[in-house]
Amino acid sequence: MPNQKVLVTCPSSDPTTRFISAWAEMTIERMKAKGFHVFPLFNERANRKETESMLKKHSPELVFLNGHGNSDCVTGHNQEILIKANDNEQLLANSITYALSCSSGKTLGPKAVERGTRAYIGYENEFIFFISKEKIRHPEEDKTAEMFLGPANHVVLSLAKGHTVREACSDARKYFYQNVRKLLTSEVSPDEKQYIRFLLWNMQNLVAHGDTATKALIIPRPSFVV
Amino acid sequence: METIDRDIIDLVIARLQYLPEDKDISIGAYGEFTKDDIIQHVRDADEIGKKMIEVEMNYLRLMKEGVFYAEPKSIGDLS
Repeated sequence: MPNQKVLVTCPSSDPTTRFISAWAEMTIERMKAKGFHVFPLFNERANRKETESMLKKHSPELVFLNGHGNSDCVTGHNQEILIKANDNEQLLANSITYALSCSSGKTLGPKAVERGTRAYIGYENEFIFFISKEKIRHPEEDKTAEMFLGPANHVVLSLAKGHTVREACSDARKYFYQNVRKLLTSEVSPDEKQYIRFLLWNMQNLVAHGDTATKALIIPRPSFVV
Repeated sequence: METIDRDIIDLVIARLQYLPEDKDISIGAYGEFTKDDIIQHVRDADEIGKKMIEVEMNYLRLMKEGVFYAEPKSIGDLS
């Protein structure tokens, strides 16, 4: 069983963060089932003080940030800045960090790598997805959001399987593309086909910086007694 | 993308008319928008509208490159 530590921020202060955190929660459960030590920061706990404290105390191998953001920061609950370039990005040192947020792959990612992050995966532009209004209270049941958040969460699940950063990004991109292909079939309504351009947009904007050959899951070699 | 050709705005609006009515679009920190909201932003050519135009132009370019006929090579590449 892996012994790796994972920090996950799950803010929930508006519909967008409620949806991405609901999907992150499902990913957390799957990570736990695989034996990872997951430290989730839900709702108000997804704040700067707790995030910094957890990073310092546990030095997690994998950091999964869910929230809003821009090119130089990722935010938590109520859009409080959690990690910002030229401020506290050194706290991500030695981790593989994945930010499911807008644009942080542009500046924060390279800056974090400069300050010791093994690899930083993020989006170079806005992460765009669709929400079913009737599923606002049950985001995890929203099949439309799933088309976008499924591939986005696949980055972490692929890393949890022992894949490299490069493979995890490639797997997630393929997942986005598979969903595009599904939408091209005749059984899909013209409305739903409109999602294609946004799936391709997210797929194209997923980037990784740093050591893309690194892995989050390190399986110890078996020791043999002769 | 400082000034945007009116024809492009009209083209993007025409395409956005097909968005579903019962879904909101989430554009990160900009928030969540209905179809009518988003069309208005494009009409106003404000920051959010320009982002939608960028997405649409990117999509048209990808179609021209044949994105539906072959898995893009860029899938496995990382910048």
